[in-house]
Amino acid sequence: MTTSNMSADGNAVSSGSGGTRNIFATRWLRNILVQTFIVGLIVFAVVYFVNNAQVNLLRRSGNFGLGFMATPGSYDPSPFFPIPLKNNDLVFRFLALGYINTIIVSLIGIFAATVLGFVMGLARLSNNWLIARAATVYVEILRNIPLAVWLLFAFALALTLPNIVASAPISGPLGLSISNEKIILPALKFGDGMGAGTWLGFAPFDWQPFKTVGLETSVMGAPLVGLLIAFGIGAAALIVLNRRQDMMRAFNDREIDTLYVWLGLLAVTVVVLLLFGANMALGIASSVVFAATAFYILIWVALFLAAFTISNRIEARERATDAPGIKSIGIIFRTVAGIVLLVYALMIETSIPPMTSWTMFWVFLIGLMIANCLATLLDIRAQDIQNRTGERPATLLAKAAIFIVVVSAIFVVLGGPIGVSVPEPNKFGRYTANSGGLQIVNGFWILVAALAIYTSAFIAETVRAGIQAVDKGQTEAARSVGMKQSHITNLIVIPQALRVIIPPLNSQYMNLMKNSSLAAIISFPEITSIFHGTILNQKGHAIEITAIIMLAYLTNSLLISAVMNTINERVKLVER
Amino acid sequence: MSNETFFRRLDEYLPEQAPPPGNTGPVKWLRENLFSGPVNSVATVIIVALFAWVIWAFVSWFFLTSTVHGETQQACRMATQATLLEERLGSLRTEQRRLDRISGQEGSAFEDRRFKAFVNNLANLASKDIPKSYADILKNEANVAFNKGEIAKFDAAQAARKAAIVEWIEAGGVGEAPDRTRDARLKKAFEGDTVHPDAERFFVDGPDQIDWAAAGAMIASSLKTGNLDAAQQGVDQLQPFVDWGKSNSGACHAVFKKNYWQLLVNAYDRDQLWRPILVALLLIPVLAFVMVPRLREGSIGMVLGISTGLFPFVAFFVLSGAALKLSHFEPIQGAYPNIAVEEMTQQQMDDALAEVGLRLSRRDGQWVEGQSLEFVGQWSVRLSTGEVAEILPPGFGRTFYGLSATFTSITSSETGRLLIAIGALVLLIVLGLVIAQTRFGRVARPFLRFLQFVAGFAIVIAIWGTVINNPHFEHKRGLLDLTADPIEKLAQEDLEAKYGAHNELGRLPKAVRFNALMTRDPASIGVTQAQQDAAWAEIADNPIYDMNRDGVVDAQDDLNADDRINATDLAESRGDHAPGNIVFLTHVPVENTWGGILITMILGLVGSAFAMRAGILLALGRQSTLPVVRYLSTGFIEGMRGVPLITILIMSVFVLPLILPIQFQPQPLVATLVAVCLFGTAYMAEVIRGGLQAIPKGQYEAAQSLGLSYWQETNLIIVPQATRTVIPAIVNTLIGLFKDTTLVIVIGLLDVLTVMRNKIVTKVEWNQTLTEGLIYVAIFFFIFMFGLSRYSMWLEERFGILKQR
Repeated sequence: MTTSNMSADGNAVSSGSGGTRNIFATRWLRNILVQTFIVGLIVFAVVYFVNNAQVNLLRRSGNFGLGFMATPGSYDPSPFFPIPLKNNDLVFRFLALGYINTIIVSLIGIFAATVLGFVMGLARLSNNWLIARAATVYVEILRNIPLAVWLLFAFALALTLPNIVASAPISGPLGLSISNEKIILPALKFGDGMGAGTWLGFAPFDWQPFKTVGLETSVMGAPLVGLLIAFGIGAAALIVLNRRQDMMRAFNDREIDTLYVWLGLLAVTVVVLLLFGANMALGIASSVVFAATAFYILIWVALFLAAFTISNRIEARERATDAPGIKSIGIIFRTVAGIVLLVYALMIETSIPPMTSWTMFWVFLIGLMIANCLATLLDIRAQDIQNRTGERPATLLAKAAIFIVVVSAIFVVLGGPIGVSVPEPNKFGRYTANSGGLQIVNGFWILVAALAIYTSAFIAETVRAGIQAVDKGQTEAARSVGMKQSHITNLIVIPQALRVIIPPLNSQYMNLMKNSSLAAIISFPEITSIFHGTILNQKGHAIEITAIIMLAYLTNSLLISAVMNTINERVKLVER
Repeated sequence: MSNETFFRRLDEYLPEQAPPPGNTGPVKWLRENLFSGPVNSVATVIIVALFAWVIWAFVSWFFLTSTVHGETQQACRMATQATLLEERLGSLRTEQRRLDRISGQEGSAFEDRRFKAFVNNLANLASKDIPKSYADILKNEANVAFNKGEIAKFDAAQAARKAAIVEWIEAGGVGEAPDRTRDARLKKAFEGDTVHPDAERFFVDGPDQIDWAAAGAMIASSLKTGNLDAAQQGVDQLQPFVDWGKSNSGACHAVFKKNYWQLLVNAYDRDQLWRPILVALLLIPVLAFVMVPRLREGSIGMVLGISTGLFPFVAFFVLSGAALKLSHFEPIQGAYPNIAVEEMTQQQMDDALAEVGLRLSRRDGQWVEGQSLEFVGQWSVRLSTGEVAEILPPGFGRTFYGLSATFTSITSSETGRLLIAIGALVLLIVLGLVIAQTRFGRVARPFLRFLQFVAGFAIVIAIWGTVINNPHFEHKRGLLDLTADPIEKLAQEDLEAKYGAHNELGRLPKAVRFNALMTRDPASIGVTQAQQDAAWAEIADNPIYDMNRDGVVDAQDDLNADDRINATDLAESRGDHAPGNIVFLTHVPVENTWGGILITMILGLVGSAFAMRAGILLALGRQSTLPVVRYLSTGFIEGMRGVPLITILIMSVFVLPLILPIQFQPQPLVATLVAVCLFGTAYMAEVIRGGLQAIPKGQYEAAQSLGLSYWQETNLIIVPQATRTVIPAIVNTLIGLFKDTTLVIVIGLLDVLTVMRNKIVTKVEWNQTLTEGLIYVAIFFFIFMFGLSRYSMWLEERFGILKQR
C-alpha cells in the first residue's frame, strides 16, 4: 500500500535556488488537479459518446427507451422449462423467463459443481494411485478445453438420441422418455384439482388482475416500474436494516470499496432504466393495474423484510450462543427469501395458467423455510441449555415433528394439492406441452451438466489446494489422539481447508453464473440467449438491452458475492 | 571349540533374507497404491474398467475404424449407415420372433403399435435418408463437373442417371437397380470418355451409390408390405458396404484432411498463404523473447526486443496488406431507409455526401458492389469532378484523404520509397548506437525505443513496397488491364451513356458488368464466344453465383458470400490502383476473410499483451490514494468482472458503433479486440493486485528512503516483484482469456471454433461431422493450454516460488 505517501509532504516543496514555490510540487494541489483532469476527461467522454449516440440513433431513425418492452415479440413457442410462453407474448415476459432460467440454471449448476468438485478434489488426493491419476486427467482435460467446445460437443451428442417425432424415444415406466428434444419425467404436480386458496380471503390463485384488465392493452410500464421500485426498496432496506457493521462484516475491509462500487453500479443502472421507463410510467396513476401491482409488491416486500428481520435475529442468537452446526441458516433463509421475492415479482408478469402450480410450489417452499427456522430456534435453545447445564436435550423428534406439522398443515389447508402427473403421449404418439409430466428440454440439462462438470474441475483444484494448505501436523496430531480417518477429514481437515477454499469458490460460482450466458450457442432460452439472440434482432435497442442484461448479471454477481463473503466471515480464522 | 561354535560374533548378522514375494517390486507398489484395502480395490477395479471402456470406445472410433479418405462425409458415413441398418433389421427380426411367440401366430407383429413404429422408423432410415444423401452426392458431382467445364456432357449423363433411378424407386424398387452397366440409357450417356474423371470417382472409390439407393428403396418397400425377408435381401445387398466399411465405420478424418487450411486461416486468399506462414515464423523469436527470461539479456535480447516491439506492426501489415480499411459503413440507403434522395434535407444530404465521399475515397469495393448502377454512376460523376474532397467534412475525414493522397504520391515513386528506406535504416542505426553508447541513450531509452518502432515500420513499408512494385509481382497485386476487358468496356459505355462521365472507381462492380453483358446481344457488340465463355467461367468459378445461365446474377449473393471471396473478388474490392490507397501488398480484407486459428491467435495474443500492461496500471490505480482514480479503477474492474464476456462482446459490436461517430465505425474484429482487451485487463488487474498486496511494506519504505519517485519505485521495485509473485495466476488468467476467445461465436466472428462449426461442418458434404470437428478444435486447445500451464509450472520452479510442502 502506498498510504504512507500521504503523510510525507503535505506542504509545499521549495524548488531551486530562487526559493519560489512551484505550486505543482504541492501534493494536495497536484492531487486535486489530477483528479479534476480525470473527472473532466470522463465527463467529456460521456458527453461525446451520448452526443454521438443521439446523432447515430437519429440517423437510423431509432428511438430510445424501454417502450419496446411492452410490445409483442415473437419466439418459437415450444415448451420451455419452467414457464411456457405464447408466441407474441410481451417482451417483458421473455425477460422474466430468461432471468428465471438464468437463476435456475446457475443455482442447480452451483450445487452440482460444488458436490462434484469436492469429490474430485478429494479424489486427487486419494491414496489410491489410480484414482488420483484419474482425477488429474479429469481436471486437466476439462480445464484446458473451452466451455464452448464442451457445450457444443454435448449438444452434438444429444442430437444423436432417438428422434422424438420420427421414432419412439427411449421410454421407461411412468411415462419417462428420453429423446433428442427433451426428457420427460413423471412429476409431482402442485395445485391440481383443489379449491385451494379461498381461505385466504381473496382467492389468490384465481386472482390475476393483469389478465382481467387485459395486460396487452394496459400500460406495461406499471409492473416494470413497480418491480424496479421494489428493487430500490429492497436495496434500501438491506442497507438500513443491516447495520453498517454488518455490511462491513460481510465484506472484509479491503473489499468495502467493492461493495460500494457495486451498489453504485446497480443504483446507476436502475436509475438509468427508470429514466428509460419514465415515458411509460406516465399512465400509471389512472391504471387499476397499478393498484394491484403495488398491493402485490407491497405484500412481498413486507414478507421479505419480515424474513430478513427474523433471519437477522436468528443470526444474532447464533453468534451469541455459538451454536455449532446451525450456522448460516439465517443467510440461507435470507437468500432464498430474496430469490423468492425476485422470482415471484417476475412471475406477476407471467400470470398465465401454470402460474397457479408454481404459486403452490413457492408456498410450500416458504413453509419449509419457516419450519427450518423453527427448528433452528430449537437448536439454539438446546445449545443454551447445554451451555448452562452441560446436558443437551434431544431435539431430533421435536424437529421432525415441526417439519411434519408445518408441511401437513399447508397440505391440508390448501386442500391436498399434490398429485402425480404422468406424461401421456397424444394419439399420434407425440409428446406435446399438454402431455403433462415434467418436460425438460435437452438444452437445459446439457447446459447445467456442462457448466457443473466444467466448473467442478476448477473447484476440484481449489479444494485440493485448500486441503494441502492444512498443515500436516494437524492430521498427525489428530491421528495421535486416536481419531479415525473420517473424523480427521470431517472435523479437522475440512473446516480448516474451508478457510482457504471459500474465497476462490466465490469467483468460481460467479464464473459459473456468468458462463450460463453461453446458453446462447445452444439456444436455451436464458436471458442472454433470449435478449441478445432474439429480441435484439427483432427490436433493435442495443444499448437498453445490453444494459438490462448487464444489470441482471451484476445483480446476480452481487448476490453470490454477498452470500459467499458472509459465509467466508463465518469460517475464517479469528485474529486478534 | 564348543564355546567358539556356541558364541557368535556380534558383527556377524544373519544374512539378509529376500523379502516375502508380496512385498517387493511392482507387487509391493500395487499393494500399497491400488489394493490397500477392500474399498480401494473395488475402486481400482471400477476405474480400470471405466477407463478401459472409455478409451477403447474412443480409440476404436477415432483410430481403428476411422476413415481418412473421401471427398465428402457420405464416403465416411455410408458404411456406418449400412452397418446400422443391418443391426436394426436384426433387432427387428428378433422382436418379431418374440411377438410371434407371444401371440402364437405369424405376422401378428405388424399389428403391434410399437413394432409398427419401429418398422416405420427403419423404413424411413432406408428410404428417406439414403436417397437424400445420394441426391446430395449427385449435386456435388454436378458442381464439380460444372466447375471443370464439363457441364453439357455431364448434364446429360447426370440427368439420365437421376431419371432412371428415380423412376425405378418410384416403381417400388423391385428387381435390380438401373446401373450404367444395366440400363441402356445410362450406358449410352456414360459411353466414351466424356465423363470427367472427378465424376467417375464415385464409381471407383468404394461401392456404387446406386447400389446403395437401390438396396435402400428395396428395404423400404418391403418393410411397408410387411415382408421382413425381402428386407433382409435388401440388407444383404448392402453387404459390400458393410465389408468395405468394416474398417471405416468410425470417425471421419476427411473433414480435417480436406479443410485444415480453412481451419487455420478460413478464407484467406490461398495464393497468399505464405503471409500467415511468415507471420507464424516471425512469432517464434517473439514468443521466445517473451517466454524465456534468459533470452532477454545481452545483445540477443536487444535484437529480439526490438523485433518484439515491431512484431504487431509487421504482422498486421503482412497479413492485411497495405490498403488498410479503417471503416465499415452501412450503405447510404441503410442510413436513411425511408427518405428518397430528392426529399432529403440539406443536413441529411450533407451527411450522406460525407459518408459516400469517404467510402469512395477509400475505394470500399465491397460497399460499391452492393449499389445500383445509378448510384455508382452518380458517384462516379461526383468523384471525377473532384466534388468528393469538397464535400468531406472538415476534420478527420478530409485530413485522412489529404494525407493518404500525399503519402501515396511519395510512396508511389521508386525513388521516394528508396529514400524512405535508407533514411529509416540510418535512423535505426544511429538510434541503436545512441542507445548502446551514450548516457543520453540510457536516460531517454523509452523514447528512443518508440522512435525505433517508427523507423522499423518505415523500413518494412519501404522494403515491401520496393519489392512488390517490381513488375514481376504485378499479377500478385491484381492490377488488371481494364481496357482489355470487353465487358468492362461495355459497362463503362453504359455509365457514360447514362451519366456522361467516365468511371474512375477502378474495375466496376460485378453486378454492373454483368448487367452490361446481359442487356446486349453478344453478336451485336462484337464480343466473341470465347470472351463470353470466359465471363461465364468467371461466374462458374465462383460458387456464390447462381449457376443458372438463364437466371439473373444476384449481386446480393456477392455481399452475403462471406468465406468464398476468391482472388478476383479481392482484386476488385481492394481497388489497389486508385489514388488515395497505398499499395505494397495486396489487401486481404479482414472481415469474413480472415479466420480460424489466425483469429484465435490474434485475439488471444493481442488481448494478453494489452491485458498484461494495462492490468498493471489498473491494479496500481486501484491501490491509489487518489479517491477518483481508486473508485474509477475499482468500478471498471468490478463492472467488467461482474458481467459475462458475452455481454461485453455484444456491447462492443452493437453499442460501440452507436457511440462512435460515423467516421470511426469499427470493424467487427476491432470491436471484438476492444472487448477482449478490456475484459482481460480487468481480470489481470485483480491478479496483479494480489501480487502488489503480497509485497511487504518494507519494500515501499525502503524505496522511499532511497528517494525514489513514485514511478521509479513502482517500475523498479514494486511491479517486478509483484508480477513475479503471481506468475501462476497470470498464466492461468491468460489461459482463461485464450479459452474465452471462443465466445466470439455468439457474434459470428470466425475464430477456430466458429469456422469449424459454422463454416465447415455446415457444408453439404461435411454435415454430421460436427463431433470429429469439435474433437479437432478440442485437441488444438488442449495442446495449447496444457503447454501453457506446464510452462507456468516451469517458471514457478525456475523462480523457486512454489513452496515445498
